[in-house]
Amino acid sequence: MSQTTIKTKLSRRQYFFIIVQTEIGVGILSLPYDLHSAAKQDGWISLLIGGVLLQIVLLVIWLIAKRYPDKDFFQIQEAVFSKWIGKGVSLLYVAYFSMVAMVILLLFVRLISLWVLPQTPFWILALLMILVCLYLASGGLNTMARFYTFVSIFLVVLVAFVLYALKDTQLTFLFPILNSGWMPVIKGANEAVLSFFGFIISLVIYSKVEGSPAQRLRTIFYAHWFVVLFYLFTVLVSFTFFSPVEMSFIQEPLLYMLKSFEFVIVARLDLFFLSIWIVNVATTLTTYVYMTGLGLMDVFNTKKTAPSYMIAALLILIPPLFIGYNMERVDEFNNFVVWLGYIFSVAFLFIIYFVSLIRGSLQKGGSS
Amino acid sequence: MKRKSICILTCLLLLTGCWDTRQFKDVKLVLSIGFDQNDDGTLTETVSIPTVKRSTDGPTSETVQVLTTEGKTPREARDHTDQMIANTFDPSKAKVILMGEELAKNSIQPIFDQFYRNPNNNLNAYIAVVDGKAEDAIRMTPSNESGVSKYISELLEGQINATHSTGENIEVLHGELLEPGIDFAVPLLSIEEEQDMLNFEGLALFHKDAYTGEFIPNHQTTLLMLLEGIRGKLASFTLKVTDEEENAIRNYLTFRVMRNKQDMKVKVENDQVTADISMKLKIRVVEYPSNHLTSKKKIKKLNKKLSELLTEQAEEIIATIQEANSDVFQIGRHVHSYHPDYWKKVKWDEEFPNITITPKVEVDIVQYGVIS
Repeated sequence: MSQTTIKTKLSRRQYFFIIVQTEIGVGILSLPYDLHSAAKQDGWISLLIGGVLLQIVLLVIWLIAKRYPDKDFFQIQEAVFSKWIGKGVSLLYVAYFSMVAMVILLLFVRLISLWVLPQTPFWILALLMILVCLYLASGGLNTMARFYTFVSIFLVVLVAFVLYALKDTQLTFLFPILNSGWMPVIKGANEAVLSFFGFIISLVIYSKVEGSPAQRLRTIFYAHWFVVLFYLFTVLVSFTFFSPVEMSFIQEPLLYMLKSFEFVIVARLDLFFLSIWIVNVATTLTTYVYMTGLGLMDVFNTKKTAPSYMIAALLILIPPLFIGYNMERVDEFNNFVVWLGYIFSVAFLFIIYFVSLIRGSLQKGGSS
Repeated sequence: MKRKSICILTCLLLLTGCWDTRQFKDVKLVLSIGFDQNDDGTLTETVSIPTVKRSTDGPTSETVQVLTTEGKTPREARDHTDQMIANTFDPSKAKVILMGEELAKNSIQPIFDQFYRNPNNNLNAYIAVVDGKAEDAIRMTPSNESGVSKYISELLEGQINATHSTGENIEVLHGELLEPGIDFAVPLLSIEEEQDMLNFEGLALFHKDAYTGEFIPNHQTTLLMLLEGIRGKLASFTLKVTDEEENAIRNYLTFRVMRNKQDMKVKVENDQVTADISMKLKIRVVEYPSNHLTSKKKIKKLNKKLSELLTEQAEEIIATIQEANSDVFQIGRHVHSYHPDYWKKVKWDEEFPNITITPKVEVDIVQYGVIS
């Protein structure tokens, strides 16, 4: 009939950038601070530990996805847990994804308000952001993938800005290494893991990507290590730019360190950085809008994309309006969602995998 | 049609204006701020506000208004200033922040909190201590200069270029204010009332966040900078290399530093900290009226003499900073990083004046101009 209905599979390069853009988001600005408050100057070791640990989770993701090569994440639930239980689980995941999106929205607006627009009301910023994401998400996965690939050039710009700060760094600030033992470092790994929570997208869209399972696994790992190295770079620069005592005061080290640089045309590099960072937040949020919408479609068995995304967007927009700029409640909610993250993005994946293994062997046993 | 009008309406709603415009006509940009402490503990804030008047014909004229207000905190003093001027006060483009001597000796961290806390400010203002009152410095009307803010900031920039000061802005100072084991020095300015000018006296040595009262005089600041590994566009010395000549000028040699290499080794042995600062300078002689620089022997002799002289001066500088207890070489931070057990055991503040710091300067003449 028309060409628009033909669905093409995503290329592996697009898969790579979707994972990268989803993982790098609102947290990048405060990641060095969070790591530092947990593990002092050893925070970068925590980051590496977190990165290595997540390899295991990513492997489980791949093992699950490999068993159901042409089902998306929510369809897998139904295949694993039978129809109705599966739908229930899917609904929980929809709730989880929307809550992550709310946290992103809250943190994003809080930061914008703090740094650039102190007088603008919450709803305006939240609405503008969610509209952009809704628009992008309703364009479909292929459009998103192309957009994500395109805006990844901005990551280079971000790196270039941070590179400029290298001239004022001091390696001595990283020492002494492991002076207070391994405990704080392991605690810091907790902070590190949650900055990677976007990785679940690699499972959700796995079936929509071309290539053999091994090739796709490689792409997942490449994307993961790209993000780890990107984070590591920003963390190391922040830790060597600011002295340890100073780090404990500065919540957005990346922005803060760009504040004092002045060029002929750009007087405030931090504001420039911020406007590029907004794109990264938008891509992350779009992914969550997409996942929420996709979940709703699968649960309610409908093919109407636009209304589903709109409902998803409303779902994400409305609760944060009641929280607003209240720092304490934002933090409470954030902690709650992080806790949920461990359940849904880590623990539950293992359950899915084992249930699917047991059911698989049962079916085999039954048929023979 | 319906679609279009919805589209246009949405655009109207979303794209028109915003809450956070800060228009230039509504703010008074403050370019230099001075803080002084009063006897009763309150603060005096002096600001210089330039206003550009644009007339329809003829050149634009700039008038500078200087205001002094009091307050318990810098922010309160600013609010008082706001009550006196048209529009509102905006320090986000401040170029220079001056502190009176009394205030600097007390504690400067509370003054700067507002600059660090507020995202509007860009943190590349320079700091200087005024020998006397900051108010007097800002109230100066230097002739032949366009405004006191520009004068002071260019004066300070000149010192950075000539390797007299570090060029650290308030962003960099933030870490040095807070971190134990790192101290810093900022330019010290004195007021020359007869000529209505400021004079760069040297570098005021700070300990933690307070001025110690000791300073490195301006003829030694270049060496201090080089010992810290910092070199501006130009670094030159004039040293007395001999007493033998009758004509006083002939006793001196002036040279410029072409390349500097500095290295610091900190050792902790038997709970004794020793720091060796070695520095190699490659120099170009720019003025040496007494003799021809032809023979290798002569140059060698001069190298040796200059090395001795500079090492001697470096020892003087180090004696001063140890007396002031101002760890500008960040030796404390090195100890903290590489000898953490020792660092935990001692109080660095008490230890620093007693450690052994040995400077060693080696000078090598590589060029001597177009005449020999």
